[in-house]
Amino acid sequence: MTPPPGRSFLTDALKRFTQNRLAVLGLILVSFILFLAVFAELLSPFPYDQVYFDRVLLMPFQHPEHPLGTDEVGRDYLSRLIFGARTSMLVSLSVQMIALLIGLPIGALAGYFGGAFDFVVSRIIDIMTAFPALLFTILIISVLGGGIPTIIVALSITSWIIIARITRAQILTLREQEYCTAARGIGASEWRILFRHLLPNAMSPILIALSFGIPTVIFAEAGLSFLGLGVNDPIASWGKMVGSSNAYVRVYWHLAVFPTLAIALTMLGFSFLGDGLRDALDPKQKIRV
Amino acid sequence: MGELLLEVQDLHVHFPTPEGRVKAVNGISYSLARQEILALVGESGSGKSVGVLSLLRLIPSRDCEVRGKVLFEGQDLLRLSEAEMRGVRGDRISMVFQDPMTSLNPVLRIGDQIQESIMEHQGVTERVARGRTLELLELVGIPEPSKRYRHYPHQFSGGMRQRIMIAMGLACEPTVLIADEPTTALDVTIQAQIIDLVKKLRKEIGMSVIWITHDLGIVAGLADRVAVMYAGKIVEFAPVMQLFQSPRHPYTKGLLNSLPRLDSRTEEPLEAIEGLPPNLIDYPSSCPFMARCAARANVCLSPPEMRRIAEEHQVCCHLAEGG
Repeated sequence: MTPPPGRSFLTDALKRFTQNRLAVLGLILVSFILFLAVFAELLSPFPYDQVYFDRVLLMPFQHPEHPLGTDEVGRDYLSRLIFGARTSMLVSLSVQMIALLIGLPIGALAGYFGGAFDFVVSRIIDIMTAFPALLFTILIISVLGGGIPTIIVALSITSWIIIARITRAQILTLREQEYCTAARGIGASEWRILFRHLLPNAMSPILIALSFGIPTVIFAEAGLSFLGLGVNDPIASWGKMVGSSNAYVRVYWHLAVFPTLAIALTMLGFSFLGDGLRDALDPKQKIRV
Repeated sequence: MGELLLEVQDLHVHFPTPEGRVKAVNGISYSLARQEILALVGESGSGKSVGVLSLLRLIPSRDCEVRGKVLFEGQDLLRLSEAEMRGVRGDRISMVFQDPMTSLNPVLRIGDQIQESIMEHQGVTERVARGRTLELLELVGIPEPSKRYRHYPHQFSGGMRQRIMIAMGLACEPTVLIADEPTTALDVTIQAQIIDLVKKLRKEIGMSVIWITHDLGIVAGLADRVAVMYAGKIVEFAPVMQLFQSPRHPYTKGLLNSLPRLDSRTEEPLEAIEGLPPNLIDYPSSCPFMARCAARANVCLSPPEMRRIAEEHQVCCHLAEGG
């Protein structure tokens, strides 16, 4: 069936996306978290590192200035939650960006030209896939020390593999397409065929992989920070907030519940968004449950 | 006939596979004159497509072996560097592919796909290329080109896509257009339009055409000369009228007899050629058609050579007689 002229693939995709309620909910959640992350200074009532020694471990609503209470050194919990969004977004978006910048060209070149380069790339992908990613990340962080830049580097090293693998697989199938031979037939160079003709066709699955990669990274960062391997004090991170509440959580439940809720909502938002993107961009793969 | 433009000499294309060498094309030779339309006919697997794809070195498989000579304007295309070859493809020799549904890139606007070839070869600005693209779309009969060039392939029907492919092939006014079954996927009315278009363009821009088909009806209405292929060889090569009136090779005769005719009685069954083409891995040392040939004799155990039996008529059969 040929759709009526004037309706492009993107218009169709947009329509499929907006008709999917969960996808729109995901988009709203993600936009909200991004909004918090970008405007954290304006939105939070206190600086994230402001310590009040006389307001240690307040419960939610116990003090009118601290609706979500304070932590064990007397910092406003709401402000730290908002700044935690910034840490999560900064780490996850940078990691996926680096993964894309490294993984896409490597995967594309390996898939298109094959040969020795493809052999080496494929073996690296195999080894990295077989190796437990978390152990590898912990190893790198223990060598390089904590902090946001190190976390980004460590998580990027394992994340580009996924993008490279997907890009390579896409290009491998696409290069056998007739339009690839047709492009060669009008005298297009190999680079032009790869970057202008094949990569745009491979973008949907890559985009979907990126959007699913973001919650994975958020979770990894939270996990590392929980273990004390992540961001350094006094930077706020949801994972670290849960981790350092360990000793008080039986009484001061809010210390664990709010950051956990924040992680869960963010992950949920990105998962819904990813599902929605997949259904919208790749309608053939839709699995109806 | 006019001057000689393209000469293929003893072309072989083999694919080494784990099961053995697939001998897809086995020593074909032909020539193409300026403004001539040459038809290559034969059944599926007879090496028609591989034979022309290898002229432009477009065979996707990395490990195929091509031997022979392809002389075009004094150069052997098989000896050119990849960069020189890119300059020939799409500019002086261009190709129209068989399947309009898969040969256009789904994510690029059709205008950009046509324009790409013009900008690649003629080094003109985008505006000039765009103007030329609109003219081409007009020429191949796409209504409202200035609106349609912005559309994507999925917004066109099969016949329109095939015309877009032809526009791509014609973009740089090639000297030779190679068309690989360009009308097979189309219905007969569109088919007729496309054939008329090609004939018109042959006169207007003076191009030569190699037209691959298995439809003998198209051949009769379009071609100047016909090469009949069987198992990777040309078995008969003749001007179109001569081939239809006095076919000499048993395979050509079989092909023509298997066509339904308007003047035949409907109760008569169509004649089919018994058997199957030979296995291209286990290529026979005899005449490749021998196993299916009704007229076979002992002499057929040795492979026949191409013989000239009339001025323009060549046949690859021991038993064919002149006349």
